[in-house]
Amino acid sequence: MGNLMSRLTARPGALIALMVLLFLSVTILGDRFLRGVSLDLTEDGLYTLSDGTIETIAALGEPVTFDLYFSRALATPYPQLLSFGKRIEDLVATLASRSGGKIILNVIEPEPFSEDEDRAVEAGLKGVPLSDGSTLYLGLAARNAVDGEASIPFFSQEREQFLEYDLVKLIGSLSDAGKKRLTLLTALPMQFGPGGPQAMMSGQAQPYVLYEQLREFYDVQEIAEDFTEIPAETDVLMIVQPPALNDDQLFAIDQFVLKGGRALVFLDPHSEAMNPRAMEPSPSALGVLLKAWGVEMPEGKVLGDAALAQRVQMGGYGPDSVKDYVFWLNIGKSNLNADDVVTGTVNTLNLASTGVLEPVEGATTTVTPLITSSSASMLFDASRAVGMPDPDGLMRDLVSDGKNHIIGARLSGPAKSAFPDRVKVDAPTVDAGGVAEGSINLVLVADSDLFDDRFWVQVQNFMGERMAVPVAGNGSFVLNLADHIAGSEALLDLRARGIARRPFVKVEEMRREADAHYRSEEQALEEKLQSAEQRLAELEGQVPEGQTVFSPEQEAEIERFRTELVETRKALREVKRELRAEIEGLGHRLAFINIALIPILLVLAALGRAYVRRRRTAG
Amino acid sequence: MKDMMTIFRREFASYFATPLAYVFLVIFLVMQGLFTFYVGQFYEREQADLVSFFAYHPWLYLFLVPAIGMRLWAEERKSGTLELLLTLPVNTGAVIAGKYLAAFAFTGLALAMTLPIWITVNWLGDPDNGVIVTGYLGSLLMAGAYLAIAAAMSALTKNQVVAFILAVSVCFLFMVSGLPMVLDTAGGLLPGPLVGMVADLSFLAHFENLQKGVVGLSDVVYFLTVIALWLGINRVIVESKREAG
Repeated sequence: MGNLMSRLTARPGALIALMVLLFLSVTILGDRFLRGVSLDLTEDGLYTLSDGTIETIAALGEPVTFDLYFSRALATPYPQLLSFGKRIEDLVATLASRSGGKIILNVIEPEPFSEDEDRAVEAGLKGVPLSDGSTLYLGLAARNAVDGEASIPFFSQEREQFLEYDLVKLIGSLSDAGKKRLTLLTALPMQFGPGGPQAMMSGQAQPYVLYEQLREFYDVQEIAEDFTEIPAETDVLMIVQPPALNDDQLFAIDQFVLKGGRALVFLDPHSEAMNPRAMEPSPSALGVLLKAWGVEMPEGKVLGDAALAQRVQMGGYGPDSVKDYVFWLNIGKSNLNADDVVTGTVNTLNLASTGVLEPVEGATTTVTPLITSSSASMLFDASRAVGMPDPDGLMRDLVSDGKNHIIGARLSGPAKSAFPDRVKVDAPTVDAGGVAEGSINLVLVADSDLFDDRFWVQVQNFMGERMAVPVAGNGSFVLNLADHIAGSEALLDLRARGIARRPFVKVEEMRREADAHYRSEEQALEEKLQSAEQRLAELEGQVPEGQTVFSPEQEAEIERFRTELVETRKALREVKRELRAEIEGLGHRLAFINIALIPILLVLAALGRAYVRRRRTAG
Repeated sequence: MKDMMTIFRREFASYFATPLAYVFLVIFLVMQGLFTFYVGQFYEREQADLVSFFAYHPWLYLFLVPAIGMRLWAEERKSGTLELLLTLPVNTGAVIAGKYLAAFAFTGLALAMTLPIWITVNWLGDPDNGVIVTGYLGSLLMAGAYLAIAAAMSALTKNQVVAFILAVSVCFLFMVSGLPMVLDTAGGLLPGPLVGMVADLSFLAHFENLQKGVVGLSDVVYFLTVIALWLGINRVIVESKREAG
């Protein structure tokens, strides 16, 4: 052996070949056995199993089999897909290893036209056809010992940050028996989407994504607007933009809540989801109930918030067409209650024309705000939110009232019935069912548009499968609320993971400040422009009778106004340009600092050094 | 160890003996700034991350790191000091490690000078600094791998330009082996598992893994193995020259 080694070392070529072989084997073995051993440095621990997941897999009653189908060889030419597939393998393997044997994992590479491929198709997996006729699979089929079966047809890379959630959800969906009952009362077309039942009949039904998500986790039972009682086995009562209710129905809700029933209530001074082109506000209310619960929602008032305003595209595509719209709110971390177990894990919420909640003085309930406005807000008349709203006008009219309004809150603690007389008349004894008071536990939000897909989710069609990619945490928020209020919290931490958008806060601030600064100037100029235009039109209409031409004085005046018009327009353009220039200027300055600053310092240092050296040699 | 540190100090100081080091640093910093801001649209994206900063590192290093590494051995051979160095009672391994570490420290210095971009992104928004840390780590490891290749190539020849061209070529192979078009072509010629192996060898895949905020042991081990391999080759070449020389 020693002889062989010495002969090898005497021949560099052989030695190098030996080293290359060693290198290849270490690389391949490393890829196989070291993967999954990693240190997660992301702020939100995106690559670490969360407590909710560990709890869920620890609570598994019976073994679950995971068949992970991954066409590794076919994915090789697509490095991103390959590493994504490996990441899924790693995650599933970690889940299996943490489950104490409850999760049995098979990683299967389905060869084209093999039995494995048939089984993958049978399990409901969807492959991606490649140009050479083969099909690439990257999906998971799960089954338990009973006959629960579920699958993730294809892992979409866009949902990479929700991988863990999707997997835990999959485990949860294996045992449907445990689903809680959610009773839903709504006037929104949640089940069929914007087209209503007609859309369903023509095969165009697109249910709200949130409705579909609720159905995945809950046994959702809708009650019609003429309901007479709340189903006895209800775990969570969800009221979203309710229709007008009569006293009997309100009393039913009152009693349900007082008897300890959990409820999530979403009311709205104007529901944009009901009819986006409405000329009249579409409000919803619960009559006397709110006051009994300890809050009031000012009727016909919509909250405008300059600091939370979403930037929207209004008519056209130029840079000027993007405006802050004060009725569409983009709620960030700072306006969500960080201490609350639900809102603490939500990063963003998109709301539209919301109302506000005001605690009633002397109420016995506790109002815990979940969502609040910024202090740069005020209440507008709801009529300003309908028809064709004017974002600039609204922004101009907004005079901050300095209050942080409550948009959503938890209401809990002792409350009295809103119908004390009925309790006495209808149910003289407590045994008969009527109660005059009780401890309530519910969440009330002054917006129902957060359910509408267009405000929070991008729905894509991926090979016949609807794929929902959230742009805000509305879904997490509602699901977490329902989950939390129904008592199961295992999935709580998972949902909001990874939606963190990290914008340039500085630039957004600047934009807002610049907007506020230039808006008054812009307004003055616009008024000037209008009056000049008007004056010009008047003059041009005043051709003296019997004459076809203007008098020289008139012509001079017309000319003057024309010049003024042109100049005002120019000034207006200038103002808008300045608005943008400030932000662009910052970009240029930052680019300069990052590109040139250190190099300049380096050159100076080099020159200084050379100078010192020359002085020394000269000396 | 002591020998290695002596060599390291001598080598590292020698970088700054000529204006070359400054020229190199300036080029690197200006290039990375231009790529980040104008090609990667760092500011226009308005996203508080350094994706557009790290994305161009594999390509920047492809030319700049061989430029650092080309003189490591070629210069010594040309000026005839290599023989002198090797006759000293110093272990060849210590010489190789010392020289490599000096060049590596220089590369690290260049990377450290990009600190303003990190400050910038933190001033502009609220980035995930964990992701940036792993990004820098990945970048440094990849630079180290490029540098080991450049060092070995430098030992092959007396001519720095030839060393540079050789190093760029080998680095290029290591990088493109992960590109879709290369793998697609390879797929037609090689059996599946071998194509997978070629893909595993690419700098790009391992570099990208490290851009996500997770330090995977397999990625770190990969870069360290690449460095070990080329430093090993470097040693074989130097020793065979000593025997031949």
